[in-house]
Amino acid sequence: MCPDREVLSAYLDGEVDIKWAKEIQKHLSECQSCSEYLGSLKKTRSLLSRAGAVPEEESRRRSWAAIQEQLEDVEPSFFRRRFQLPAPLAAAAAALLLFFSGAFIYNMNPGRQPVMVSAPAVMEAPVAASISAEDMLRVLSLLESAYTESQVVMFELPTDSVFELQGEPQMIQAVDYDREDQ
Amino acid sequence: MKTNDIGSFQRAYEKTYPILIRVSYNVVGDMDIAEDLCQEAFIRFYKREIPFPNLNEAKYWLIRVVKNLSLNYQKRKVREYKALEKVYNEPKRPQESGEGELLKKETNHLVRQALEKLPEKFRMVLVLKEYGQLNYKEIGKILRISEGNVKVRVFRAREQLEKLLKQEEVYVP
Repeated sequence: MCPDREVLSAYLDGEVDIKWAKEIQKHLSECQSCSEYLGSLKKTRSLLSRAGAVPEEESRRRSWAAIQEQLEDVEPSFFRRRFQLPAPLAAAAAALLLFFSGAFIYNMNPGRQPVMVSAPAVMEAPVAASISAEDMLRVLSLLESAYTESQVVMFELPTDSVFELQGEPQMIQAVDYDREDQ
Repeated sequence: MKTNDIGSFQRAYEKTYPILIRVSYNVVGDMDIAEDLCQEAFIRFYKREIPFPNLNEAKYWLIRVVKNLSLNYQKRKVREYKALEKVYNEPKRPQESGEGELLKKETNHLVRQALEKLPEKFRMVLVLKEYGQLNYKEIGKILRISEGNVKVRVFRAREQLEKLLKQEEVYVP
């Protein structure tokens, strides 16, 4: 009994189980009709192969050169992306630096005495910088003069590194649903 | 494997380019266009930020991209194609003279014409099978159909192609 032509097509592609392949091979040696059909499939394959041939090696080299040229435009932007901090992270880093450190601000304008403004290293809740009114006025005057004079402003971190957070931050208080007073 | 690592990129290129150019050329029928589309596929591959688990998955992705680019191009050009009875832009080969060579060219042209007349889903499986050196399982992964479906489509594609070739009285040496 002849196998389906669909099976012969799969046999040509090597997609038939080895056990069935042996059976089909044996059948082909005895059946002229199936043998001719398989022959016509092989001829069609041969025609397709000749009609669709391309100079692969030459094309491969040509395309590689073209891709390299295009990637030279792409690569710099990719390189820049690697070294950029995401904006939220950069903002958080800057905020932490100002928020948790005691700072001394110097006005380095020649002829004027440096203005020292300090904030305490220990922050008490609610979380906010503690600064005297007098110091605040000095900061404001510095900022104002920055628009009219050329100045160098330096932030100096405290020499001791004891940082203590006292009190519960307001944000945590706000979201703490287990608190009895809520 | 990372697509923007030069070592991985080059390995993927060396392994898949021959398949991609054969597949694309036999869909669009123009060597210059096929090269442009293959280059586009590799640029997209480079820009892709999600890595592949292995080289084979990268290969299937690239073939899928080239297949889609080629089919989209071919659809755009089909009207012009039919109107002008366009002769394929033959790949550049050393010129041979003689009746035999003319017959060969004519045969090649008729075979490609017959291939193009196949419905898209039949043409695609046959192109991937005959030019992609892919098995049914791989073709199924690329086209996102079952192996059984691939087997049926390849068979029907061959049946239809043979009918078309007989109509054209293609010379079979």
